[in-house]
Parts: sequence; C-alpha cells; structure tokens
Amino acid sequence: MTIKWTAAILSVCICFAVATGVRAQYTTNGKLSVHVQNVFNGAPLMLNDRAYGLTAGDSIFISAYKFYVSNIRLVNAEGKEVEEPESYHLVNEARSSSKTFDIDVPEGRYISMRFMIGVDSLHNVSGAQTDALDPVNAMFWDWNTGYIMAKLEGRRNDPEQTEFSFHIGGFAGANNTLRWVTLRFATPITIKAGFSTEMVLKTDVAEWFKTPNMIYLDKTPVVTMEGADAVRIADNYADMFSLNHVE
Amino acid sequence: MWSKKFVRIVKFVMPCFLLALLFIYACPPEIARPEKQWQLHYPDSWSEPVYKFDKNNKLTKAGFELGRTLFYDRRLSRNGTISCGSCHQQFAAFAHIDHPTSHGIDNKLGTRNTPPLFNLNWQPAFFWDGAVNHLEVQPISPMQNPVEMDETLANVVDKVAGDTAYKRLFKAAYGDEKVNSQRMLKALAQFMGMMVSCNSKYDKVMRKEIGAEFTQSEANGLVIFRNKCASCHKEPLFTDYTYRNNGLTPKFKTDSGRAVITKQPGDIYKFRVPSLRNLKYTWPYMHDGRFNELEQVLDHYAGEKFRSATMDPAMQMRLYLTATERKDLLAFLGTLNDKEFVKDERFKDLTGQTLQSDHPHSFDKK
Repeated sequence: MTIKWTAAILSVCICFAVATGVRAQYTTNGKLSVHVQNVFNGAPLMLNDRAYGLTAGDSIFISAYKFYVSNIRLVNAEGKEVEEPESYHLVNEARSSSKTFDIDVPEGRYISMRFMIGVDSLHNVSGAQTDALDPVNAMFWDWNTGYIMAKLEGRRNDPEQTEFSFHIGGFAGANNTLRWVTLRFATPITIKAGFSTEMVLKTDVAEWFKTPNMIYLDKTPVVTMEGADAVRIADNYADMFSLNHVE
Repeated sequence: MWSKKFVRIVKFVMPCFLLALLFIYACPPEIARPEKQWQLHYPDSWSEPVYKFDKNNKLTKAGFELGRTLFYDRRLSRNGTISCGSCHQQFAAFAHIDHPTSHGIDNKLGTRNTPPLFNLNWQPAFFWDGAVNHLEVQPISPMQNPVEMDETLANVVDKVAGDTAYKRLFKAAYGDEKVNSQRMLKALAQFMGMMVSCNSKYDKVMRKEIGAEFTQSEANGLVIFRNKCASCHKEPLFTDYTYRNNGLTPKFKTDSGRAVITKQPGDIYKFRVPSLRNLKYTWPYMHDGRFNELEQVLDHYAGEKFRSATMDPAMQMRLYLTATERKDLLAFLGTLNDKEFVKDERFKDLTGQTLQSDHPHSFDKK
C-alpha cells in the first residue's frame, strides 16, 4: 500500500517537475544583442555617396545592401548548440533598426556561434511566411519561388554610371547559395539571466567581389537569378563576417 | 508474487501519470476559434492533395470569403482595373475564354495562355513552366507582373489594410483585423483550393452514380484515350504534372518554357502537361493559346511536329485515328466538362456586397 501511494505521489511530482522545468528554461535566459556593422575594405559603408575601390580596378557606389542571417546557434565548450527559435533576421543597410537585434540565449558559457547567410531550403518551399520572411520585403522571387539570400546594388564610378545588381538566391542542388558561417569568440562569452551581452558582427562588402572568385563588373554586372554566377558570389561572401567586439 | 505486485502498482500508477500529464497539457492558451473548420471534398479514389488545409491554413467559411473578395478585387492592381477574376473567369473554368494570351493592365499582352483554375491542391507547381512551388505564394506573381496587375505586394497589403470593409472580413477570418501578406495569401489559397472540379459526367460514371452511364461513343473514346493519351494526361486529374515538349513550332521564340526556370538545355520548349478537364470552357488551347478548336489539337498530334532535341519521345509517332475514333475520343473528352463547377454559387463574384458602403466610389462594381 505504502509503495503504491509513494509511487503515485512521486509520478505526480515528476510531472510537475517536468512542467516547471520547461518553464524554468525561459526564466534563465539572458540576452545577446547583435549589432551589425557593414564596411567596405575596413571603411564604414555609406550608401550612395562614397566610392569604393575594387581589387579588379573598378570603383563603385553602393545603393542597396540587404542580407538574411538565419538559424543562429551558439555553441558551448562541450560542443552543445542552442538554437534561436524562429531565427530569421533581415539586415538592411538602409534601415538602421534592422542592424540591431536581440537573441534570447540560455545562461551559459559559449565559445562560438554559427548561422546561415540566407533562408534555409525548408522555408523556400513552405508557402506564405511573415515578419522577416514576408515577401513584401522584396527579398522574394515571385517568378521562380525562392528567397533572395543577399542583395547588393549600386553603380560603377565611370562616365556611364553603369548599374550593377546582385540578387543572390537558389536553395537547391548545384544552385544552392546557402552558406554557413562559424565564428569563434576570442574569449568565451558568458550569458547571464537579466543581462545583455553586446556583440558587433561585421561584414565586409568587398568580399563579394573576390576570393575565391574575382568578379569583374564589366563582364558580370547583373546576377538576378540562380545559377553559377550566384554560387560564385555566395562563395565569395561566405567569409565576409567577422566579430569585431564582444562585451 | 513480487511481479504481481509490480503489475498492480503499475496499473495504479499509470492512470495517475496520465491524469497528471492531462492536467499539465490540457490547458493550452486560449485560441480564438472563429468557427468550425470547413472540409475539402473530393472523390475517394483521388490521392491526398499536395496542399492540405491543415493547421497551417485551416479552411473556414470566413477565410474562403475573404479569399473570394480579394480574388475579385480590381483595386489590387496598380490602377484598379484588373483583378485575378479578370483573366480567371468562372464560366471559363477560371481561364480566359477566347484569349490566346490575356490582356492585363493597360491592355498589355503576356506570352502565355491563362491557365484554368481547378484542383489546384493536387498541383505540385504552378504556371506553364512550374515557376512557383506553393499555392500560397502563387498570387504574388500575377500581382507584381508588369503586364498583369503591375502592383507591388507591399502596396496591395497597404490598400487592403486601409479599407474598412476588409477589416470586417479579416476579423471574421482571423479573429482580429490585422492585415499582412501571409493572411491575404492564405485566404486566397482557401478560395482557390476549394475550386475542386469533380462532378463531370466522367466522375459520376466512375463513382457509379445512378443514371450516370457513358454512351457507346464515349465508352469507345475512353478506350482510345487510355491507349493514346493517358500516359501524360493521367486519370483522374488528367495530367501527370510533368513538363514536356509536344512538338509545337515555337511561337514566342524567346519563351523556352521550363528551361526559363531550370536553365537546363534539356528543358527548352517544355511546358506543363495541362489537365483535360473542362476543355469545353477553357479554349483556346496550348500554352500559347494557338488553337481555338479541339480538332486543331488532334490535328497537331496527328500531323508533323517541330522536331527539336527536347521533343517528347511520345511525339515521335503520329496519332493515327479513324474518323469514327476521332469522334469517339472527342465525345469522351466532352464527358470531362463539369457544368456544376462553372456554375457553383460559392465561387461567384460577390465583391459588390462584401465591399459595399464603406467606400462607395473606391470600388468600381462590375
């Protein structure tokens, strides 16, 4: 009899423990505040007004720069990953509010972070999405379903002011432009409940045009569909991210 | 002895466990349930649809009606002249009758024949080249196409959000008045997805309904159809949804069909195999609307093809039919017309009622 009752009470307790445990997870989250800083060869990026030199000899003005950061994960010392739920952020150089975003992260010590440049293939085939993935953001191809992972537009600093336009997309097979980025923290960061840890995530736009593939704007001024050119540029910008500063 | 006792304990403990679990999980946050879910009805013999009205997009009467209002609202185009329903007319099984290619905004012409709309939940990809992979995002394309409605999705959302009549419709469908593209597109998917055409004579014969029987000519035609056509126009939807080059001489040389999307030379001049349902209402035929008569279509299959590297192997042989066989085949194809579908009251344009009064002049009633 006693065993019966003990077991019964124990089972109820376990259930409550599980339930409160789930809740407890939410209360031990701290914040990681990400500030995106876009540069061109180290110089701050300014839309429209400033000319930037390319390794290929050209000089360009940039008028629009947008990209998705998605599926953000933090990795702790044991290699365990915590993933931000619904992790989709659209960074738009022209909209300063889009360059700062907060992520809820469970308390702990983390040694690196991983994320994707672009929108994972699942969300390219799942119909109407909302918020960062809302097609009203003009990062969506209506004529060949799929998200534009990253966009760079501008003009060459030449007498004709020739425009260039890179809309990089494609999520499947050989046309896949999704790129994972892994960044190690110089020193492990500690996330504490009730505290916000600040991080500066830097992108260098100059990387779009070089390593491993030189992009010559006289030959390739427009890449607005999936294919080999888009893949070449995605390979270039895959390493444009760096961590400037964590505190 | 011990094991018996153990079983007794387990027997007692398990319900306790379940009861406790129930206590924890049976209290989800209150979800607004505006109304009971509608059902999508289709014949038992059909496969499960590709696009389902599940928790992702629950089918409701109010959602369907919101979708219908959007479908017929011409203000969704840049200058308020073209709605989805302008080129997708119910009496034409939601194709554009007598128009090889439709005239969109400012009377601009496209290069492809407006496809009819029915049984879309079974269709894995949309447009003649399979450009769009999901029913929900399909409407964005005609809205933004410069020769169709020529409006940005963002502007469409703004127009709808700024209209008081829509506030009522969104509230009825979603429990609150919030307007966004996702809600609009899911409502449109409900309206279009409900367009199930499955009440043709063929369907009734297949369901063995009382009084439904093929004539001798139609029955002969079915046999011919199954021998000569069914490899691409697969029953019961009368398409296998593949892309094929049926040997038409290219009319718009720049339109390479499926290759526009895949960039593969092997896909040049391939277009989606269309359904053969409702042919009576959906003329002209082919991706560029070049044939007004079914007889011309059969003439094409019976005649010399435009031979290119991508021509479908099935087109190598000419379709040989005697005059009687041809008559029988056409008789059978006639059994695929679904009169109930083109007259279904649910799909009629009621924007005059649903959008009335709030802005009497902003909506130009048809």
